[in-house]
Amino acid sequence: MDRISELPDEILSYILTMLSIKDLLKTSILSKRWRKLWYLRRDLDFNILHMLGSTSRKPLEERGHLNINMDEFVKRVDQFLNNFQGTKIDSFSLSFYSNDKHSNIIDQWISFAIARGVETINLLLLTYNRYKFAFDLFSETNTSTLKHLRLERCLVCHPTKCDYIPFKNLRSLSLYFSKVDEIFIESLLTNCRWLEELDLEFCEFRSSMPKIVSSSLSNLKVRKCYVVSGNMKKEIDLSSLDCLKLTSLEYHGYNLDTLNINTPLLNIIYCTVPDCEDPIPKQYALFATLPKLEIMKLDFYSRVPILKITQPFKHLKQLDITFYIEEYSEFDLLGILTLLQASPLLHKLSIMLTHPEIVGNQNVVKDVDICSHDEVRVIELRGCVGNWYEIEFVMNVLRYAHKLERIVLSPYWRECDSWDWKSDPVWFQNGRQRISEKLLNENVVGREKLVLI
Amino acid sequence: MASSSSNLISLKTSDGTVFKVERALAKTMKTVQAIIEEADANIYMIPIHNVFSHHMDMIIDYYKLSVAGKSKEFSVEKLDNDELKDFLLAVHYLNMEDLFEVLTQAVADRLEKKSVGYVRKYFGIENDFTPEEYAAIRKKNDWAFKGDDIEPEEDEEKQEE
Repeated sequence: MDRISELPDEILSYILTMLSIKDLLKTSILSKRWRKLWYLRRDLDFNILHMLGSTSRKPLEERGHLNINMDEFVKRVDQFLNNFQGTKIDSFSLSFYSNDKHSNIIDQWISFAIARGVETINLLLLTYNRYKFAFDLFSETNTSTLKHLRLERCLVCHPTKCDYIPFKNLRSLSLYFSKVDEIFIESLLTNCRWLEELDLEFCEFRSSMPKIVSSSLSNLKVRKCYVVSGNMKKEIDLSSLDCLKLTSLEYHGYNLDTLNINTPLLNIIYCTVPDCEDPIPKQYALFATLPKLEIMKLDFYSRVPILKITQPFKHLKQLDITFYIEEYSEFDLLGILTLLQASPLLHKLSIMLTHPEIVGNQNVVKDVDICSHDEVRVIELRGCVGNWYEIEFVMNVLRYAHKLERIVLSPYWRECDSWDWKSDPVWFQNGRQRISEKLLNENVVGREKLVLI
Repeated sequence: MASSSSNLISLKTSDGTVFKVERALAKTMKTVQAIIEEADANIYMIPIHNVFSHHMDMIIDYYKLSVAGKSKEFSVEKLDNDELKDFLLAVHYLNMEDLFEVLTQAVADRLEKKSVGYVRKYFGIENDFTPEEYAAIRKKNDWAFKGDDIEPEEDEEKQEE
């Protein structure tokens, strides 16, 4: 009669990995055969909303926590772990609103996971006084298993009660909205010789940004970190980056003017370009020195100034530009032509205009005097609704990009992964109409390469 | 090792039917792939135990959908639990990763948020606990056994409609 139970343990345990914690526990009472199968589960994810039966799709950070019963959650997790007899835990994830009184019990849970060889720890603890992640829970015998650590809203610093023992096998470290001691990060970087990925976002440091020095790091992400001095938040920037193996850098800070960089293998950069008065932002000069830079993604909050770039981006193949403009009345796209000119080997240029609007004052389109570009094959312009600056850009680029195969114009845009595509059908028609009129009817060189979406 | 000039591999199911499948499909079956690689000479026909022709039909359907980028359209809803279990065993024997994951997820979906009584009835699992044992297990994680899960009675009402 019982056909499902005839499946071997390994298949059943695979099925059990796909169940919620509650459904998993229910299987323990199905029959004697099933009683211990739940111990085979190796990924434990305790999220207060799921465990308390909430069907809300809002993430934990956005929900008010007045109605959530923290003590009940703690009781349930405790019950689970007290009865769990599995010998190996691969990942331990915890998301909840905690109080200071929960510190000890969280320490106990983490110890439980460490004792079972946990490789990945994810903590999201929304609390007023940040939970201090207990690095001293790790001892000589068990620091080798941890590979991935992700902490959100925690306190990260040297353990005070004993000597800290480094993680020999740590591969990735991600810290969000946490209070971090930069000396500790520097010590981690020195001691974790296999660290590949470091992510520091919205973190508060003690007095400065850590110096990022590592012989193994390949991906670095830094976003809007700061220090607090006299009740005021002060933004801080990267000043020292010495990573021989770094291939990808994502940086959303304020200013890269004082950056000392030694990253010969850097291949991809994604960064926010600050508003600047300088004719040649030092940032560009810095990036131009990188011998392997092939992909650059830049976020602009104002128009790109017309630059005179003295050193070209010699190896750049792909350039993605996204504009976050509040008001398009003083906007134009000609600055991008200078960036294009500074990238002689560029194959693909993608431009995205977020939140586009139809500008009231449609200026006259002008021809710009620029040298030819012999490499670029594909150009994409998204969020294009038929404004004069878009048409001006397209006409000029068609004229001098001799090897261009395709230029794609589309009104669709997307701000980032969490925002939906937006399109207004009426708008779309008008924009398309305007573009068609100007570009298809007039005598525009290369218009056969146009693709209108 | 001479390579076969044909792009088709012959697979013989337990019920004696021979299927000629593309080499690319055979490659997704790690068990079959291992047999091919271990053979000294060309193999003409590979027997696949525990796999019936109706399983092969579904495997070929899945393969065609995934090649067209439409693997999400593949559905096993029409299979009852016995059929799903047999199919899962066949795919497990053939060691086909992607399809195995699809089928285990299908089983997990059938278990999701259902009451214990429902799961037992649906899968025909017999309760072999004594009442004392049963109560003791319930007590260990009591919160998991409460709640708004679907009970067998509700499902019976739906079936009578």
